[in-house]
Amino acid sequence: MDSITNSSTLPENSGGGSVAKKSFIESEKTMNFQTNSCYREKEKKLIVETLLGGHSILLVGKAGIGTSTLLKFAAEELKANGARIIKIAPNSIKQILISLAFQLNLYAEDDKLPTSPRLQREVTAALQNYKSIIVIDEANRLTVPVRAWLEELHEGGQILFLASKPAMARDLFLKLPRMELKPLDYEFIRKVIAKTAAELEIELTPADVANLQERCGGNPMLARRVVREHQIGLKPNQHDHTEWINGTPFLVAVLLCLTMIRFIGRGIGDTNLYILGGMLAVAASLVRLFMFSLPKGSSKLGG
Amino acid sequence: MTAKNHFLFSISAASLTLATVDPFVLLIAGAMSLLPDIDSSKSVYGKILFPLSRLIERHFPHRTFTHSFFMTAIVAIGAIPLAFESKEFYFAALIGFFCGWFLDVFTKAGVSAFYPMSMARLVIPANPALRLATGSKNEWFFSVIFAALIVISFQLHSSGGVMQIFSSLLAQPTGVSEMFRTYGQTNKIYALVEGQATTGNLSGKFPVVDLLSNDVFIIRNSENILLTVGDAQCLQCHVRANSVKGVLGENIFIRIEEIKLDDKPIGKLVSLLENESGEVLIYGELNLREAEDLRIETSQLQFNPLQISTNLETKTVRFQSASLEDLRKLTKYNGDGRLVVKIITNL
Repeated sequence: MDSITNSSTLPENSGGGSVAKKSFIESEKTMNFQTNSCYREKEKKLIVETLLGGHSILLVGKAGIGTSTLLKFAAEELKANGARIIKIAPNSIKQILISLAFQLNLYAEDDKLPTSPRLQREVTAALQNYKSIIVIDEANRLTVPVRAWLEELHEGGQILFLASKPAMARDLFLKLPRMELKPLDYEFIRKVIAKTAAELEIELTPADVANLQERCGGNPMLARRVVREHQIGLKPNQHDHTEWINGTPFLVAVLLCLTMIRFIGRGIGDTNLYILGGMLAVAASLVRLFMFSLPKGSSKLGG
Repeated sequence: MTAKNHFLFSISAASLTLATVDPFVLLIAGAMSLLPDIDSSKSVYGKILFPLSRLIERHFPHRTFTHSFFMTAIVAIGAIPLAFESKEFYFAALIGFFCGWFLDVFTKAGVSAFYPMSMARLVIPANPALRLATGSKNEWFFSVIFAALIVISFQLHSSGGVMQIFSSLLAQPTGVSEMFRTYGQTNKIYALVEGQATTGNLSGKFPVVDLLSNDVFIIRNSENILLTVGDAQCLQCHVRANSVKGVLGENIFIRIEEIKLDDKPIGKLVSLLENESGEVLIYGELNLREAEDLRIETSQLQFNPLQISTNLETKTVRFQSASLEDLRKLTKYNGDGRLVVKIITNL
């Protein structure tokens, strides 16, 4: 057996759909609409080499950034390289142990299962004998007992490949080497938009694409969403991506530089400039007070 | 933001920062403000330069490459030839371009201001609910504000500029001094004074003759007497002004001549200067020989344009803002030294 797969664990990759039926604009005809495009070949290569080299890795990325997709592509590449893959869904420890016990052929469907501690020992022992890579998507949803067990496995030499949303730096998440996924380049986001448009059989002009890209940043999930919104005629003003730089401190800093006028006025003995500079400094301070008292929006996608 | 708001904002910003109402300068700023939106084929420049805008659209999302400090630097370099024509044109182009994209940081989408270092979008404020949606009704509110700013700026600059108006509001001697320094070479400057003179209250409009320091200046009163004017704390001044405002007067032309006297009769100089049609102000120093009988009355109640000091055999007369009338008091003597004569004629 080359791999044991819990089929319900990995979400379907919406980016890996059918071959594009219709190119969306003339210029994009030359675009390479590969099915199952990864767009993160460099990261995939690094992950595969790391895991085949016997090291674990934690893949971290914000919602929709493509961690699940990369995890799927990397797992397929590992399989292609002859690695044994065990995929685990982030369920309770009991469900995970039962699922693994059946998949590792420790027990048959009709057998009476032992108590959880004993089952855990048996599964652990079986995993140690069965050299494999454990792959878990949405690892941030793992419960504390599962994390503790995985930590124990990891310390025993088990290779782990976890994908997670930005998680708290503790226990297992703290110990695993971490790879953080950055937003996709705009070139790839265009491809995602093009592919989604082709799947939905809609025509997009370069102007449409440029405008849609503005709303999704480097997030491929949002790229697919904005195309669907475009298809049904929605033009929401909400921009859900999280690639923002708050310019308020810069603006306030520039305004506070007006305080210098006061000192210049004093230095050159110009009373008017001194008073005007003082008034501008007060105005800048008021703007600062106002700007920093505004309610702050959430910086997290989906909350 | 809509093109209209970019245009209005850039004009107001250029007018306020460059202190100008020159329509050509403002037009450059307004025209440049629309340039960042060339990354959209639906924009004004995008339609005019369609192949270029389409090319940008195919490679960049809206409000990235063209809405950045990087692009501003490129424009700053590219517009250098404009600086040879006029520095004002150059800065108007830069301000216009910068304001053109910077205004978009207040929109929901923001701009990739730090391209190519980061594609993250610069926004103000951080809360998206408080930012503007492009094309929303709220844009009218900003259009009104920007239009008002333009009107205010025009009013400010046609009235002598921000500092001038501020000085006028404060009604302090420094304002008059500043006006004299700025416009004194081309215009007669008057001071509207209200204050206490040594002889009683003084109120009225008097011509400013000269500056003594940043906050003390000399006026000529109706009796042709020079008085120093300072603020209410100036104890040495002849007039301690509670309120003093500068008023720009008629256009003048100033000619300055240096005259050297080598023990020559001062009477000749007086005759020479009497032929001049304008007001004469004399500065400098003359040594007078055989002038033992020279007596010039000075008073603590006025500014004395002639100051006499006695050496062994000569008397030295120092001139400051002295008139031709003052010089006439020395007609019968011979003088040795250099004088600077300022001849002011009305245009």
